[in-house]
Amino acid sequence: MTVPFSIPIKDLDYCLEQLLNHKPPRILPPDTIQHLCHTLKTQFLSIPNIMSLQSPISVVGDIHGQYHDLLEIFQIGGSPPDTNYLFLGDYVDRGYYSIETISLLLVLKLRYPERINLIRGNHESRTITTNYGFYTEVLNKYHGSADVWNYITDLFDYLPLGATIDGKIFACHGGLSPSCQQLDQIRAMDRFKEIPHDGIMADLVWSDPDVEILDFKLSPRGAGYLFGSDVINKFCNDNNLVQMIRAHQLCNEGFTTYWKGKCLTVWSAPNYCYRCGNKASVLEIIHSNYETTNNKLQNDQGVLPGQFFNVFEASQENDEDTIKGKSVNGINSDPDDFDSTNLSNNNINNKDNYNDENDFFASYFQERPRRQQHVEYFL
Amino acid sequence: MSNNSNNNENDNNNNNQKPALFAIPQSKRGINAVQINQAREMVKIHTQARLPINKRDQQSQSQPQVPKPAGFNNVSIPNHESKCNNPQCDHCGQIIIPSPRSSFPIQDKPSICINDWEIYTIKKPILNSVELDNLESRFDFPLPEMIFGNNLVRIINKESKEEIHFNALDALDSLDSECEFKVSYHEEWLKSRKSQKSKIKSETLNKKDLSEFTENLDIVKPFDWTYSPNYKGTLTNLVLREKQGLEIPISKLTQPDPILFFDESILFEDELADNGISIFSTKIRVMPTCLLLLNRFFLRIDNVIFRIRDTRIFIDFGTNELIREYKEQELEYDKLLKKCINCINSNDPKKLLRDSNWVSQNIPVIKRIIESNK
Repeated sequence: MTVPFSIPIKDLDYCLEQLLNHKPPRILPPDTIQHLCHTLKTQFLSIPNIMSLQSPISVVGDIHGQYHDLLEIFQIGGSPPDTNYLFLGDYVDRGYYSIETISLLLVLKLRYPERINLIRGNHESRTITTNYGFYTEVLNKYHGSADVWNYITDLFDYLPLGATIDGKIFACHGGLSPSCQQLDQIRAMDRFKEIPHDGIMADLVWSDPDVEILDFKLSPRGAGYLFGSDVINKFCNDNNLVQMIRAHQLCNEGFTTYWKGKCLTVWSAPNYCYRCGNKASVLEIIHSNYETTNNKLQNDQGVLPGQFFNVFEASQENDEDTIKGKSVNGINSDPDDFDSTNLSNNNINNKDNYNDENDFFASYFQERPRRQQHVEYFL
Repeated sequence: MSNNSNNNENDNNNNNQKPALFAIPQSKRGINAVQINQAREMVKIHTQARLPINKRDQQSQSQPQVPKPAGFNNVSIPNHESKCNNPQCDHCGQIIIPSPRSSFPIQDKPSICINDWEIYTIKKPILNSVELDNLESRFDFPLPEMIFGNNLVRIINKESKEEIHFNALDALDSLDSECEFKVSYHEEWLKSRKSQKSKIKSETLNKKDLSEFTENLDIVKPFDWTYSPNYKGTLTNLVLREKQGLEIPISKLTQPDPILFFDESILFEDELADNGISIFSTKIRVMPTCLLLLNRFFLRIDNVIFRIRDTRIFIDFGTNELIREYKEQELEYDKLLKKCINCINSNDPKKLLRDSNWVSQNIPVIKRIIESNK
């Protein structure tokens, strides 16, 4: 089969129309996905391991298949091509709409290659996606065929691993590696493979900062690293960087700052897994002129001048999915199972049971909508 | 009011005859002046309705001033025993009723009461960074990724004051100090790290990376990173004695009684850095004659092990007997995976391994304690 190396803009716009103008979004046919992935591979081949990007740009953290919350990001942060975006990985797994999410991002990348930048997270991998939902979602939505999963996970091997912004800020999914002191070491790597268990590539997508330590520590789980203040200071110093931006860790406020803004975590999946009730954010970087601004290097959010965390909450659709409770508590994760155990609660005339209806604001004060009258005869 | 509007209408009609001065829209496409007047009147009615009553009168009668309402003393409020201290509106004299203030305890209304028993459930989002900072002194290990530290299930007997409740923080207090398990690729990972380290030492000249910071790598305080609690609930005024041979009466629970109250919530959850899952959750259902609470810890370390720790509380509302059953279950990952592949014919067998109910039915019990308050 011969496949051309570009896709006509009107075809891409048609894909966007399918995904954006329908509710629920229409998934793209397997052939189309194959075509998109093939074309993108040729594009990614020419992108270095670490992209060189310029401000202004908005940095987005983990999305995890929360498609409607991604649309919310475009709503609050400006939609492409009017805003530059850098996505830090973890597009799939956990949420209900991994396919829609990754399809939209791939189409947008092809449609506006200069505006949308994607890097690889630890979930952009074959082993992780079989365990955390993307594989299962593909089987469910594509009638038992795993083809689409194969196309997309093959493409994941081509994603770049990091980015620099104005040459001063380094962005990747997880964190630093003890085997890597110079960015050039990452630039020189062969990245076109499944993420291994160890080495620079694994550490870039897995490691976490820890404010209580100075050096590297072994994770108590037996694999992976935590990095401390000396590590990040040395790394920034050696590479002429002022800051590192990463995602990978859930935070209730939607962002975390470490070491006076030297390291930031961006988290972009609000009400994560339809149960955490957390906020999410996008980091907007307007400029990186730190010399011209006054001495006060930090603002209220603990970020550098010219930076702002745009914090947002879950979309309406996220709330609806939470109420429908397809797998709200991760306990009965099977939607079929849910239907069979879902009994109507209406006929019960117990006075005490009317709490929900009487207390009109109860669900509001409980921060998240309640599930609709779900009961279960568990043993 | 009607006079006014008539006048306006006449005015507008007059305007209609002077197109040179006022740009009147084309008759077919534009808006009729009569309609505009009607709209104005509607707006007037609306805006007037929003005003307090005495002010409304003031306007419609177009009287210049109405004396300001008198002070607090004239105000009487039904069902209000003492003098009213609420402020009055400067303009109309209406009492301003402040919004209700929250009080402690935050939620003192039971979710359901039945006979002598009160059941409380509270569900909140994960702890925020301030709440987490406050916990730093209580726990000296990294906490699970998602802690629903404000979630609570509480069961109290109003008469005897017997109480049992379940919460995340008490459960986290009960962890072992260490954990025997490591992730599946631990050996492989350690080996490659050691070889790397020796390579680096041999090439001391070529010290090009951050490995100088890994000297003290292994001195990290061990803790139970699987977060397996040894927790059967927090008791107050409740004494439980072990009773061999006792069983939770399944027959009562399998009757199709109506469920008066049902709730479920997660207390904590950690994804073990994508090496599996550790989740601690509770479910409760209340029927007319009894209740059942299931507090479950479910652990899956990919390619290593499955572990379940269940605490079940059964209460008979007739006899006020409370039975607590605690069960520990474990099985190696490979053994269960084999079972699971034999069990379903699908290209996604791992789906079953995410279902804690299926897992609990297919792994052996290694410990069981049954207790009662009678």
